Amino acid sequence: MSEQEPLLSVRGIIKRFGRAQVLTDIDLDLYPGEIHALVGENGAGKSTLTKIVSGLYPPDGGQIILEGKPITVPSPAAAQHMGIALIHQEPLSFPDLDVAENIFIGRQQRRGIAIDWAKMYTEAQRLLDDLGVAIDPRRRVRGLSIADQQMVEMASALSLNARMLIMDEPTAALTPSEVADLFIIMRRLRDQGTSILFISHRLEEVFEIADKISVLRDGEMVGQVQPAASSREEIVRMMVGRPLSALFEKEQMAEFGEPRLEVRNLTTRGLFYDISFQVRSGEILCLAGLVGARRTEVARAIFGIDPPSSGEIWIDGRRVQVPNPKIAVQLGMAYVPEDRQKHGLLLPMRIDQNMTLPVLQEVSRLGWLNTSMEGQLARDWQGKLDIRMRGPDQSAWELSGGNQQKVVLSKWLLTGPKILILDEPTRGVDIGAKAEVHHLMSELAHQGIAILMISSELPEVLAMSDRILVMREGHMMGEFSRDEATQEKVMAAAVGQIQLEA
Amino acid sequence: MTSQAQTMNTSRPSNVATILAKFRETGILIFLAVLVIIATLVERRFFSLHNFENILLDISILAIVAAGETMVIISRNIDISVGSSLGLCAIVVGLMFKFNPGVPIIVGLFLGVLLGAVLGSVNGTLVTQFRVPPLIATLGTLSIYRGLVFLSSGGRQVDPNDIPPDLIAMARVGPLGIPWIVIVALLISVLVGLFLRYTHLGRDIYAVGGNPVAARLRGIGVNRVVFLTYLFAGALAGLAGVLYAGRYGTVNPADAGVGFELTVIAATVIGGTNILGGSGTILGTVLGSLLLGVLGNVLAITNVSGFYQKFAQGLVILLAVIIDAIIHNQLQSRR
Repeated sequence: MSEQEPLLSVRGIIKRFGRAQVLTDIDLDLYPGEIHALVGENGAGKSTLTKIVSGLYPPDGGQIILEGKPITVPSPAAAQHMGIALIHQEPLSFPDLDVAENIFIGRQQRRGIAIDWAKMYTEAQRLLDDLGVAIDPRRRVRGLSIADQQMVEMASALSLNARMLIMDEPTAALTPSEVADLFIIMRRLRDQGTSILFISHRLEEVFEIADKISVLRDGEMVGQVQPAASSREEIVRMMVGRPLSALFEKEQMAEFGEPRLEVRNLTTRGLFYDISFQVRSGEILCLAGLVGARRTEVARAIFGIDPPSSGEIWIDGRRVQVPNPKIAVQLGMAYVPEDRQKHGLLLPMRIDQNMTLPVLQEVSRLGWLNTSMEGQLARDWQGKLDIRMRGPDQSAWELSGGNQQKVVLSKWLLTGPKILILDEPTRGVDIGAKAEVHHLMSELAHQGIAILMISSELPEVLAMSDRILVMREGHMMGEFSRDEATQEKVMAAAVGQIQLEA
Repeated sequence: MTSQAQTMNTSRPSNVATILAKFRETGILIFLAVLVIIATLVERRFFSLHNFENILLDISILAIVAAGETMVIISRNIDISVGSSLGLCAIVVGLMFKFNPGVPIIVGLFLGVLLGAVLGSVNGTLVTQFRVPPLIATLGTLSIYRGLVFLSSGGRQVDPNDIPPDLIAMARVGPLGIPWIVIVALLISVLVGLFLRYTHLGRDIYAVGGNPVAARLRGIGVNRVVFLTYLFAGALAGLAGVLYAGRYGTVNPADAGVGFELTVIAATVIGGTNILGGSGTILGTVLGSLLLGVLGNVLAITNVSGFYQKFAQGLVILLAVIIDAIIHNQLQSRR
């Protein structure tokens, strides 16, 4: 479109984390005076790419070129001085300092060696006026809304004469009117010649504001389109258009049993609204969606960690109250959380002690733990789930991701659950262990357990689910049976595009 | 995380921190006024120039050390070795005077500051380079420095006739009848206050304590800032050590600065410095020192048993922090 030189180009960027290749040969040109949207599924590599350009990660290969000259970006501060600024989704601010200092910290205006506060306030006021926002530069940042904190970060970037703004999902935490305000400012900056790289999961926003759209999938650049010459359907197809790999498929059952878990109009104000579904014995129901769909929040509500503000939970046809996780366990539920290192395991603790945490009553006599029984249980489950470990006395943190996940699973299976909630059960797990976890899930379903799985990985969703429920920003967007679900349909619902002719 | 984002979105722009800071300083002043009135009613001797001079002398050393501690705590760290540092500098400088009679006191002051800076640098290095948690690092040096006090002195105290009369006079005379120690404390407080308010390094201390991750991303050398706050705290403890020798005319290894770190931290926290870092002022710390000084004096002069002094000090700390928490919660929930 433009004959201009690009402001910033990346060529052949490669990034690996351990053995996983997260970015492969990424090329991207960003021109002055344009808003360039970067879209893709969770884990497609968008954030990694922005972190490389803004100096948070070094690339493992490839070049970054600023105005025709190859550069290295050793740190975020260096990036800022080159005019590249990253606006974070959750702004990184100093809550106890005032707005002006948050804008200028580290380079406050001085007269001699003394900071010239009066001048700093004047300058801050001017920057905020330029942005068209009414924020008092003298007030403390604590208590400002996320939108206002973003504006403070923007003002900070502008004070450095940033020519390139990288905005990582800036709209995720904003209200619609705040998004509208942000877009007005983004357009004005673009018209002044700033180059903006905009990341968003909301396709309607992307089409509203972007001049170009680049699509990432599984760490590769799939293509670039002009919004006017494209459609949301095309973008969705580009985002998910991968051949389905040969993942383990759930064994089909002829007949599901009775509804085990049912929720009706589950709502927690400000988080999610009117969630209703049922999971039958032997069935795997998947909650699909993108980051910010609030699926984990629903799971936590069901399990009593953050009880919902309204709605009903039914188990085996009986209405129940689940005020806390202890009751949830008594009702036959088990919840394997997403971040097993943070919520699922006590990493320094021995494997057997980790496993028996939910069933301490059963492995103790008169209040004293029977440690040989703990060890025996651990060895039993080691065999059942094929956990690679030296012995029950090993610390949990010594295990690989997949084996840690198996320990968490056995911990909850020890409680003999009827309902199993799995939150991203294979995240960060290598491909072999992934197949084993999938196999195990299928087996558990076969034994009559009702499984509610949360997964952001479309191939996994399609391979393992009997039914798929798609959520977006706290609302149910659609429900698909195993036969009718395709990657395109699920993704279209997840980005808020319900009608899609397949 | 999301729920927090939502509530923050709907919040009115209230300014909890500002209100708290203002409340804290006026709060202490009111408390002080009440104390003074009660003390005067109970004991006439309290309200006299001589007694006020005593109070100021008592708190001068406290205020100097607390100024350094305030910087450390604002940066989201803590230094519990300051009492031992004070003791070590007092004894070393005392011994220096003993074996080199006639050395000008300025040399002693300089030596104290230098030695204190070295002791502070050790703390800073442990925390920033060896990543020892601040409480543990300075717990270790608290003990090591105290050990050095005994080793260097052989357990013997430095006697009044070993300490130069000029140094002892610093606690007695000065311009306008104000003892030099008080002048030095005032000067240090003003300087540190200006430093924290008007220099890049001073503001960086707040930034590092308020949000270390963001500070690093903004290009602030977090380790450098933390190291320097420990160095400053040590240097001020060293200066205070020399003044201690002058004020008390003797340095006893078994009690010079022993347990002083607790009083120092108390003054800082009562003065409104957030123990979790990111906020605090020297004015607050000076008022906190004053409050503790007046409290101690009132109890002593009204012949309340010395045993009650620690007890009262503890009550004041808890009271200050609890009132803070109550106000903070109310401001939060009123949104």
